[in-house]
Amino acid sequence: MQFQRYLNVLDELGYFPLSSKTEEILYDAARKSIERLGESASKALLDHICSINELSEKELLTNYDLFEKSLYRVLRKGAEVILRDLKRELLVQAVLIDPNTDLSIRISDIRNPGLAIGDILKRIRAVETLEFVRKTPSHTHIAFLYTNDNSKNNILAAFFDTKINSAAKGLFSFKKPANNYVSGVENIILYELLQEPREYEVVVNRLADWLAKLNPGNKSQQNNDDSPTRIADEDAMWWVRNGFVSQILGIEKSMVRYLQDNMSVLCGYNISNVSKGHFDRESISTLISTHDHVILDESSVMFRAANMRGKI
Amino acid sequence: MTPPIWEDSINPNPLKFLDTIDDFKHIVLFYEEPESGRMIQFRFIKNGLSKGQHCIYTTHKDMDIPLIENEMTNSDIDVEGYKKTNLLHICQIPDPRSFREGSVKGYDKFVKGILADLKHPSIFRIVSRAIPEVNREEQIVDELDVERTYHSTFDSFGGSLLCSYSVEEIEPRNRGKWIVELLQNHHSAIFLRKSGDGIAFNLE
Repeated sequence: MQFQRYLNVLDELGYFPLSSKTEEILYDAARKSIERLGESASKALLDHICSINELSEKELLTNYDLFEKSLYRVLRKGAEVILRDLKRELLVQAVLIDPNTDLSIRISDIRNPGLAIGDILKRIRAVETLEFVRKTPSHTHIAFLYTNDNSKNNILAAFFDTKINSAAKGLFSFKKPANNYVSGVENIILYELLQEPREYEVVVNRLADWLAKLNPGNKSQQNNDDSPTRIADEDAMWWVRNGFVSQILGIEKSMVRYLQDNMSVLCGYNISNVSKGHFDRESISTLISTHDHVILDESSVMFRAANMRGKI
Repeated sequence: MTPPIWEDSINPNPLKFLDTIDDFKHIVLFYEEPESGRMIQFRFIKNGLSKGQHCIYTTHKDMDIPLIENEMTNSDIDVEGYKKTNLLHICQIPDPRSFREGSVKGYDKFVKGILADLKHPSIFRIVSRAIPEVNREEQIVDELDVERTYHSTFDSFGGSLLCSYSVEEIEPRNRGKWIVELLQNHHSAIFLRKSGDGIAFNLE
């Protein structure tokens, strides 16, 4: 429900979901499982379902909920046989993804009858999202909308992963984090240090000073490494909740200037408990439009702006 | 909603499914290769015969009865023995579309005639289909009329009925729609692939 407001704005602004490896995995698995009905019968049934729903085969087979509903409509109880096959196919793929993350599928998961196909897809998608964030290229400005702190911690850990990126790292945070997910981050600025006085110019100047100090310390430049400086905001919604809406929108807009350097920025927004009164549709629209990529924690779906060049 | 992969209650192997299926079922079989289709038909017949049930196999005029008997023998069915005990009946039926009162009544007349000839009526199994060819719309529409009529009154049928369709011989323009309608008018379905393997399941 919280995410729906943001989804509507993304749609309005013309952001589109990035085609993902998870979709490819689901497509292949769904196709393989329905083909157990035989090539001719599965083709005939898929054509029929697609024509009723006015969808292409790819749209149907990459939308699990719709595929499941359609199968139950056509095969009734028999759909269970196809879905059981689909689940088996997905589990095979899921165990092949990075076994070193908390999200990977383990034997105990495979044995758990409560693990639904939706859960498996969510895990695969989440691992894919972490991989995307880990490899974020320079000049990228990502908004990460979340409600779950664990997801935020995973995303920040991937963004600051020192095995991938040896560049300078900076974090806006509430407090000096004790968690190890930001252990490689030497430069932490606390929101409270930015907030007073409330004048926008003062806030922006402080931010500029902090960023200027951060860049000379960029290890990647010292090491002749191309890794971009990485800046993350743990929860930029803090500004909104504390009445600094115009300040955060101004900062987000000003990031365009910094992103011309070898830098990438990830802005976390905890969208729980943010009322429409605090943050109206127009502000959400302004905020989102400053980012070239938006990630929704709920589904781990990544969106990209239609015109990325205009954002940088 | 998603079934666990360890659940044992679903056995999608077509032959095993046939070996464990209850009586009084209306089953639809879709196949890509006639040989694998006949393998399922004969297994259905063989299982019925071994339970002492009357088994009726109907063909249309383009099928040679001795050839079918030969294939049944090759599938380990004691054709001569079961014919002598009056349990196995292989009959040729005409196209019910030529019947003045329509396909449904025409087909029903043939089936009732065959069943009336059984000397000791008991539970029976039939492998049959009403319309010989279903590659044109009017043919599959008539076939579906028969299927709907039989399925809606199946409780009083008294036996099991296996209806077989070569997928590629179903009218191609709306093939998916016809398959869905056939599925809606049966209790169980068996799909066989070209490779000979396949899946089977109850629809309700």
